[in-house]
Amino acid sequence: MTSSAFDAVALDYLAAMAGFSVREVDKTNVSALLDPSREIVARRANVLPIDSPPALFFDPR
Amino acid sequence: MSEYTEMDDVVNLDSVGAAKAIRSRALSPVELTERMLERIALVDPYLKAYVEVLSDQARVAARIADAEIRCGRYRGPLHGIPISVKALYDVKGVRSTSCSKVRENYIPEEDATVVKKLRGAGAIILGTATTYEFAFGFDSPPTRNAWNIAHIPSGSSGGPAAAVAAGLCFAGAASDAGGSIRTPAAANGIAGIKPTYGRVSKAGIAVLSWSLDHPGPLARSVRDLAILLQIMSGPDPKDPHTRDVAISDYTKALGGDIRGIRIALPTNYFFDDVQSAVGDAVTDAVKRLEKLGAIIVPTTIRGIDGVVESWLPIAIAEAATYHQKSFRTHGELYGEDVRILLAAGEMTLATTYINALRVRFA
Repeated sequence: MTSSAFDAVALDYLAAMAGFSVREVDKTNVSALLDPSREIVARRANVLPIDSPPALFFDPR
Repeated sequence: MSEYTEMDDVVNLDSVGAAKAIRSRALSPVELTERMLERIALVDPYLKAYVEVLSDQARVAARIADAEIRCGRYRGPLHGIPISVKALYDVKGVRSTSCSKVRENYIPEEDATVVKKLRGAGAIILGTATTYEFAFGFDSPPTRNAWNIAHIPSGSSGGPAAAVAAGLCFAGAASDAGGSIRTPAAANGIAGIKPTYGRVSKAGIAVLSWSLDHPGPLARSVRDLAILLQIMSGPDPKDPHTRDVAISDYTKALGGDIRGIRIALPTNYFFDDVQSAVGDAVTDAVKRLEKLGAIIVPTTIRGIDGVVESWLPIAIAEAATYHQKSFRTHGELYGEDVRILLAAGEMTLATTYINALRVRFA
């Protein structure tokens, strides 16, 4: 896999593993959606304490 | 909102105003429903807010409401009030399409919990109103903005929002996972609220994202919202995310004194890319609140930068899970942009999803 989350080959491979296909025309769009969010989420998560758990829902209590 | 006299057109009332007119017998649910249906026939060919208008059902419900009220069985401020329901909601016996070819022939056997509650309060369901396909976008085609049909109504609850604003119903049952009540309310100049998660049951509403979906009301005034939210709220055994907690009487807070109330005003992010007219309107509202005695507290919202990028993996991974079976069997029935989002959701790494959950309230 390249530094991009999913290049076209990886997308094909993963989609086949998952049991569906991504159209050629959609591949760039899928990568364009995933790459920035993956990067930003990782950057934000990296500054959290290692044992900081996932928050499933906002709990107002 | 002015109170009703026979010289007025009911479409200028909010639901509280219409309820007062019904209660005093100045107006009947049948008259009100007929006026809405007339207006839908006149305006909706241009506005395109409704997916399906339930004229016959609405007329029957209006006659029943009329009879009940005449017999002194008044159910409360929604009794006899015509409303619309976003097409994501299940409405018993009615095609509930989520504006997708995938659900073109889906006819639920029972109402969503919220629809049941609204009917129980006496509301008249006028019809289902548009959303973006499965609530996946910030528009609601083919619906147009109620104030200018050259503009979009925003989304994904654009249908009910435009219908409320154009006087084609008094309120709408909607939902918000990433702005889908708030932005159509703003774009159409009406009131809307995204309630606390779990306050309103999601049962019987097509899922965009289990952990982000908040059903809630759209209406013509804040006092209408208080009444609608009161009725829509509460625990539901069909939705494990709802909580059995006491629900305040929201209407009690209306018209009261706001002196001393502390209101946070974000100093970062929210005003960065705002149009000047919108920013000025918010600033004017803040000044007005301050003049009325509220204490404005400038506040930096920590972690707001990158919030959309953190929201995205949660929304699309959960959506892809919900749609997984039909995406694989009937993928061609989804619109192109929804298909891209679902593919991206399938491709979201588990670690990215979990990290997004870790940072969402950090």
